[in-house]
Amino acid sequence: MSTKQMDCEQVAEILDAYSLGASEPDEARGLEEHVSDCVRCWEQLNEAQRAAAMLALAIPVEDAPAGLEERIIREAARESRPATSIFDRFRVGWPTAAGAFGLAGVAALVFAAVLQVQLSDLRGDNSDLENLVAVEEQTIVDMRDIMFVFLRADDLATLDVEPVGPEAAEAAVTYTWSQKDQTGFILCEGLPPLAEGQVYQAWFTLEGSPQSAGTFSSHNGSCNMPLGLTESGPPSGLGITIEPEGGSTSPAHGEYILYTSFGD
Amino acid sequence: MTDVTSEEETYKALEDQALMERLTLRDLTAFRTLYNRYSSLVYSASLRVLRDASLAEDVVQEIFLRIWRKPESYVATRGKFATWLTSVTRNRAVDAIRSRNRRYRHETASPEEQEWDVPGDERDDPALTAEMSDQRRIILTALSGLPAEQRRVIELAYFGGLTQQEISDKLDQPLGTVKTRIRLGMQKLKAALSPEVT
Ligand SMILES: [Zn+2]
Repeated sequence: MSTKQMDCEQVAEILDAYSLGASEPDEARGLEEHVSDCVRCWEQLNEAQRAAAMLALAIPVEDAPAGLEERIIREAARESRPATSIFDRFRVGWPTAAGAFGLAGVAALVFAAVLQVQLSDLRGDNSDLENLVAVEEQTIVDMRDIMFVFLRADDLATLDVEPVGPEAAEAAVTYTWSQKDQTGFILCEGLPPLAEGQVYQAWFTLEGSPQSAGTFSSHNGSCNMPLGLTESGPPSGLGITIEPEGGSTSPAHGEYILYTSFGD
Repeated sequence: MTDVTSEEETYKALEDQALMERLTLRDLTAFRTLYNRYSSLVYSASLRVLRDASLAEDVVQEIFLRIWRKPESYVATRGKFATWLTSVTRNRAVDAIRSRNRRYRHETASPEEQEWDVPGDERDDPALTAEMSDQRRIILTALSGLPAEQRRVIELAYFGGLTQQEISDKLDQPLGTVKTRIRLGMQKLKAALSPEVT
C-alpha cells in the first residue's frame, strides 16, 4: 500500500488514458492499486479497456503475409512434440509439469505406482503411493499431485480399447478417466512397432467426427499418456491410429488400429 | 471416416472459447483455425503500431505462439477473445516500438498521421468474421462522430504508444488540453459503444 492512495475521482480522471496505454508509470501504478480494491472503478476500467481494444477493429485490415502461417504452425508442432509424450495434456488448473520433458521413465514409474495402488485397492491412502514414488524432484511431486487427483476421483472408469485390424491384435490398451475431473490416461502394451518418423495418435469421436487428442510414442510397445476429456461432454469413442510425426488433422487412411466406443 | 474438409468445417463452426479449450489439449487444428480467424487482425494491429512488415510479422508469431504455449492466459469471463487478442497485440507491439526507440534515440517516437478506415467503406472484409465486421461498423461510426483532434490524440496514444505527456510535446499542445481531448473522445466512444463494452 502506498501512502498516497488515489481516490475514485482521481482514478476516473486517468482511466481513459490508462486504457489507451497513455498514462505515466506512477499514475498507472496508483490506478492499479486502487482498482484492485474498488469494484466500481474496476468496472469502469473494464468498460474503457474494451472500448480501447475495439479501436484495433477500426484500421484497414491487411492479410498476414503468406508463409507466416506455415512458419508458426511448424513451430507450434515442433514445440508440442516433447510435450505430447507425457505431461502437457492436462487441462488448465492442473499442476503443470513443464520442464519435465525427458522424464518419461519417471512418469512410467509413477503410473505404475498408481496402477499398483489401484489394483491393491488402496485408493485414498496417499502414503503408500508416496513411499512408492519417494523421489525428491519437483516434477515428480507435480506428477504425484496429478495422480492424487485420479485417486481422489470417485467416478473413475476404465474401457478396453479394442484392436480393429490384425495389425494391433496383440495390443492391450485401456483408457481410464474421470468425467468429473475431465481427465484420464491411456495405458498400453504390445502396440505394433512404429517405423521411423511415425507416431501414434489418439482421437476422440466428438459429434460424429474424430478430433485429435494428441500424439504419443511407445517404449517397446508400452505407453502411458495423460489424456484429458474436454468440457464439451464425453466423447462417443476413442481410437488410435499411426500417423506421420507431428500428427495429422484427420486419421490417415481413415483407419483405426484400435477403437472403443464409450457406450451410454 | 470423416474427410479433412468436413473436419475443417467442424472447427470453423467452433466458437473462440471452444477452440481455446482445445489448445489445452495441444490440438493443432484448433490452433490453425484460430490463426486463420485472427491473423489478419493481429497483423494489421501490429503493423499499425510498428509500421514495419517484418517487425509486425515477429509480433504475430510471438502472440500466436504465446497463445499456443499458454492458452490459459485468456480468461473468458474477462471479455471477448477478439478484444483480448487485440489488446495483447497492441501492448506487445508498443513494447517493441518503445524498446526500439530506447535503442535508437535519434529516431524519436513520432508516429506519422494515419487515417482510420472510413465508415461507409466497410465492405465486408472476408478476413473478418461476421461478428467482427459488425463491431467494426460500430467503432467506425463512433469514431466518425469525434472531432478530428480527439481522434488524433486517441490514435497517438493507442497505436503510437505515446503517453499523454509525449503527445503534448509532439503536438505542442498543453498537457491539460491533451488530457481533456482523450477524456472527451473516450467518453463519446464508450457511449457509442455502450451495448458492446458494458
Ligand atoms: Zn474507486
